[in-house]
Amino acid sequence: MLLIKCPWCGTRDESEFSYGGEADIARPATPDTLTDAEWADYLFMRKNPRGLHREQWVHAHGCRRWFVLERDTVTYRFSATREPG
Amino acid sequence: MSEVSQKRHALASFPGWQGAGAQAAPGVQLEISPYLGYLNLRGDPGDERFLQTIHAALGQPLPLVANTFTKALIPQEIAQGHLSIFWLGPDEWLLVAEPGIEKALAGRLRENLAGQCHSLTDLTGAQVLLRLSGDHARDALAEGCTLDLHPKVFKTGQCAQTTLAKASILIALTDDLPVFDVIVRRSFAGYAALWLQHSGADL
Repeated sequence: MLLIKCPWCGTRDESEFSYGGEADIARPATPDTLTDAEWADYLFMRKNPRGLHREQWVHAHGCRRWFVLERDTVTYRFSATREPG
Repeated sequence: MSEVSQKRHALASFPGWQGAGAQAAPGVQLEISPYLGYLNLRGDPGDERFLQTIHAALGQPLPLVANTFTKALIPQEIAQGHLSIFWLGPDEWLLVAEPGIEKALAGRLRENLAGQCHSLTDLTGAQVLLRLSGDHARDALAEGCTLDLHPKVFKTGQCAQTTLAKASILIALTDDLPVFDVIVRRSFAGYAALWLQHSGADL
């Protein structure tokens, strides 16, 4: 059982949360000027690191707020959570 | 609307509904609350004016500490009864009052909050409150709730949104006896009530 720390509700069981993919992916400011390759890169390409990974989670069965946390993909150790934005 | 008494309760056909409560097991008492009024309120807790308006309108401040709730008498000029306010999130609260009163409360809040950024939604009829009490209430809940409900951790006055046997619930400890209030969506109410009965019987 994994315990995840929601920045608002505190530490809760993993089953209360849903995963939202890699964090910090910003939508291009001017999509109409992008090439297909650049657009595809924004849409589909994701990091797949061995080690620390910044990702989005939502406390689906709790306060229903999104937040960003850092997870070690090898040890599943969660570190620093913070509010998005 | 005055036809509260004519509405059919979500658990009207639930065994034990007619009585004051059902003995789920020795030491576990399950009680299904009759209709209650529910309001969902959202607003910016950093906005002093918003907080003061609510305090003045309801006669009690919003709980700003995470996972806590407050209960107090409603100001006489609105209605007779009690109001519980549960913290749901950093900018979201659930107001629970006796049936019918929520209309007066909502009216008063809308009047006082006019022009201020807020959201007020009447959720009456969408939720059911189950009251679990008795010496083994914690054990019955522990069968399907991942929250640590030990008295040292989860104290009277605290509440939390979590899951009970996969159903989303709002759970609150209202008394040290202990007495747990479990607020669950109407469509999950029968399932949650049956589950609690069975869970208690297993002990």
